[in-house]
Amino acid sequence: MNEIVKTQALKKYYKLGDNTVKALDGVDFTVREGEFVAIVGKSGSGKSTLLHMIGGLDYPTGGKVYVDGKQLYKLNKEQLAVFRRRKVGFVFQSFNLVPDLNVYENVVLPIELDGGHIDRDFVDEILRILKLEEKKEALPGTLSGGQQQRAAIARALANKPAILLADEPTGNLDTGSSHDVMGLLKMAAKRYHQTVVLITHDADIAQLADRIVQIEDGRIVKGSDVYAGE
Amino acid sequence: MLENNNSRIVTRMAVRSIKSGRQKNLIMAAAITLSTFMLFCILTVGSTYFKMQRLQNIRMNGADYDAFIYGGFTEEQKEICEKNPYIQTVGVQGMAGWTVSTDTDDTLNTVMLWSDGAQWDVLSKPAVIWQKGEYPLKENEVMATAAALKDCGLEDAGVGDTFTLTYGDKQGEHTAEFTISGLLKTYKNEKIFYVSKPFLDKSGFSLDDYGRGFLYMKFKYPVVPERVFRELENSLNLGEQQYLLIEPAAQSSVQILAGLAGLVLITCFSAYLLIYNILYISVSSNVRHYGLLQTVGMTGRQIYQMVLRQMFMVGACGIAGGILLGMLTSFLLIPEAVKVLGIQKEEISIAFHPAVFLLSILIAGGTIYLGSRKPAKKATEVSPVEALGYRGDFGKRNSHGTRKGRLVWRLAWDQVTKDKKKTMIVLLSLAASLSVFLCLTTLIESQGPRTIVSNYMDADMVLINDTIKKDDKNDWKQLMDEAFQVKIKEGGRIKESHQVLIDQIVVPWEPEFVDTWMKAFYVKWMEESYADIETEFKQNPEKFSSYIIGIDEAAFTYLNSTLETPIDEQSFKEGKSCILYRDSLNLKEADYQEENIACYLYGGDGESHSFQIGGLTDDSYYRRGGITPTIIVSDAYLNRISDAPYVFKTSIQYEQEYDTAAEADVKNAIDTSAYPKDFSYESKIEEMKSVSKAQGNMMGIGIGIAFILALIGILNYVNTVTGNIHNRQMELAIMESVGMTEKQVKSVLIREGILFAGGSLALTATLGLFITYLLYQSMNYMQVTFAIPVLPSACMILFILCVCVAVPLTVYRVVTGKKAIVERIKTNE
Repeated sequence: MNEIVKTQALKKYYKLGDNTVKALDGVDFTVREGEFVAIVGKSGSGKSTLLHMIGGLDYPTGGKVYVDGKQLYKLNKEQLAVFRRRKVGFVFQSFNLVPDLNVYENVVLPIELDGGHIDRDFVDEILRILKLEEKKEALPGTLSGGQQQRAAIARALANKPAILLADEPTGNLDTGSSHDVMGLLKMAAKRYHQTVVLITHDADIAQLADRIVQIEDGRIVKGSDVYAGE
Repeated sequence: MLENNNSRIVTRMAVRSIKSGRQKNLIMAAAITLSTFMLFCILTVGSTYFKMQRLQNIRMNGADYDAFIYGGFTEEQKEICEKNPYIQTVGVQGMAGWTVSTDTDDTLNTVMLWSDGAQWDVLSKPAVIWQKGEYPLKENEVMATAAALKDCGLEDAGVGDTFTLTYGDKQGEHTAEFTISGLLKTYKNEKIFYVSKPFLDKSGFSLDDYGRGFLYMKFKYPVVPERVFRELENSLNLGEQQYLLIEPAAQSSVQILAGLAGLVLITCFSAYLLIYNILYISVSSNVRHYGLLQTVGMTGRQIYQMVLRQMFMVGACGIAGGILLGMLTSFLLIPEAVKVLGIQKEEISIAFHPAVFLLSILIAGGTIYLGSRKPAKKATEVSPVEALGYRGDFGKRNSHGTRKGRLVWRLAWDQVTKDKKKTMIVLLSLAASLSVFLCLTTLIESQGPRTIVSNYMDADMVLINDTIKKDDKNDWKQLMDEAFQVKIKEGGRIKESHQVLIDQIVVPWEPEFVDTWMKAFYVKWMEESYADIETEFKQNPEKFSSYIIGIDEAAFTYLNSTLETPIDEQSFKEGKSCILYRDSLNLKEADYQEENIACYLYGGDGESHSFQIGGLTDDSYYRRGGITPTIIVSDAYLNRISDAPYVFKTSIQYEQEYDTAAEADVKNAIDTSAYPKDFSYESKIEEMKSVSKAQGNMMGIGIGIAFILALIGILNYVNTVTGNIHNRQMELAIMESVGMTEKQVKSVLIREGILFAGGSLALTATLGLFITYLLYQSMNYMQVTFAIPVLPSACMILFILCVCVAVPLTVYRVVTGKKAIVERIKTNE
């Protein structure tokens, strides 16, 4: 299978007072098309930073990131934004839904931003699969955590992106909701042939992935490019 | 429950809170400073503005009075006025004679007036620019205005100089030598010789003679209810020829005060909205902090008191700063700024009143209290857990239908309608400021020297042949002949000129119209009755001569448009019909339109000319002052019946209005003519200069008020938008994370700006315009037509659009900086 994500000697350093924090320190990492990868590591190990670099949300200090053959950080801000809405779907720990838009509007937001035609049947199908049919017109503030995260997943899937990037998607949910969300995420990715990169510190959740990558002190210590297959 | 003294800890917490949130509190204190400063400035500048406007009226009227009796007055009437509890000062002025000639000029227009002590010292002096010497006490002394000296050809004369003057009074004409006891220059630039009481006594005129005595009154208070004037008028038992004339500004004083109160109210409301909005946003953003305090055991009441104390401290600093800044600005910077801008060169006197301090502090303090009370209460009402999760007020909607339309417009509309109350505050504040700006510019424009002058006179210059004023037609001179008319146009700067021709006529008695006219004329203008002279008139009508006036086509077209029923042009041209000058007589046009009037030229062959009366005009431009009617006909017809009619007046219009070069051409033509001293003129440029001088720095102050008010609204908007974008940082970052480009974000922000600008302009154009109209009419005692100034309004629209669009873009730029999206999301989580 083709490599859809590839990083080469990826570095991200922060200045914190007089100290330099090496969030990522030369990461070489590959994800193949259709793979479900879980990145695990302790708090502050650099897993979220890696995900943000892959998603074009932050700028690296050094190294390269290729997504679908394109070197991300050669793109300008405008092109990077277009890349995000066409190629990537994000699911954040704190859901990050736009509070003024109802569930349906949040879901179709990336499509509308792209000026594209909204495939209503497809959006309805996602909402049905994610059990949000009844909440289409509800504002995010009125939903439970699990519902909000399902809405976030629906938004991530709506534009049929090549990759789903999920940053601790179950971090704010109870156990029941966590398993629900993971099951739906996995099922949706499989159904729509999407690659998933997921961050978690929960070992049980990580076990659901095809491959587990462990990161420590900004370096990958385990599972950097091993493809486990289906 | 046991009472415990926690006041100290609450105060300490408030102080700590101020220290820890130094930046935020500094911004808030600065905002309060600014609001108080503006309130102070508006009240100070406002009171200065209205003081200056009153000064303008005094200067334009030539004295500080509210009403006067015209047509002579009796001693009894004077006593009634003096005893009236509302009247502060009663001044007397008496007509003592008129000037006829000096050694250098024999066409004079200077009047000789006597003023009593109260009139001169109290009422007239405020309208005097400078004075040298003293008011005359002896019979042969005069105190002359600079304009009077110029009129008499005595420009170089000084105090103590003597000159020979021929003057007229009730006894006839006399020539005598006068000593100049004093000199003065007034804002009104009147041609007056002030004379002594012995001179008045000798003139034969009595103060109760019609048109000879004037009784001026100044009221105790600037606001005089209409009722007081009515009661005064009734108590005076005025005769047929007496009138109580009320100064328009005094008559409208109640409306003016109401208008002023409205203006202050809008201003205060605007300032209130600003303070309230700033505090609301600030306290709302601190709700999480208050929640945290609750988790460690602070009670709601303690939080409430802490917030109020914190606000008190910040507010006290802000108010003190605002007052200090306001004082500096009002007393130092505003006059300097106005001078630097070149609006006025003369000294600006700032009106100051202790109430201004008190009012500024009260309004600012009150709004701080009201503004902080509600948000503080809100912070105490939420549970600690809720407070910790509080992320600003996102409105109370639970759901809404999925909307259609373009995404950027929808997102912008969402933002504007999300917190309707806050949006309304901003819109109202902007609209209030814009409305006041609109109102002030409309008022200023209507008070502008050019507007006032344009309303009084259409021509740029009117030349008058002073020899025509002489009773003996043999003394008349043809000053503005063909050669003169050519000369004034030599420079090519004169667009057109129109001559008014004149000749003397005799209107013989007839039982219908002429008889009615004479009866009305004698009741209105003469001391003796018509019955006394009726026989004389019938036998020797030439002793009661009048004038025939010839006007050109353009003048006829204008004059005809002012008549109640326009007359047929052809009939006028052919000399079949005429227009009569009404001379303020109580005659109705419709009653005489079918009647005829006949006349013959004075000193001519006696051939009679008859005209049908087409209409009556009140335009004093055609007044010469005959006893029998003045007949206005076409110039073509007058040229046919008269061998050599004289040019009485020439009205001139320049190629470019207010062209000083064109005026210089005309003045040069006068100076190089054979009889330059026999000309007098009315010039729009000079009139404008004189009005402009009388207005002093009113314009500058008006512009200052408008500017400050516009700033209030804009600050409120800036404040709201800044708070709004700060609160939305995360929302914007989320949208960017799912693929919204920077361009799309900016598009949304621009549209929000457009919606705010559009909303406030729509409010201004409807409600604001309506209020502006009411305010304008309440203050419009000069009866200037309501007209919205186009240029300031267009500038205002453009300015508000630019500001509304530029502010969110700038704030967004500052707030996002160079931070990566993920950093912005994390910061706000």
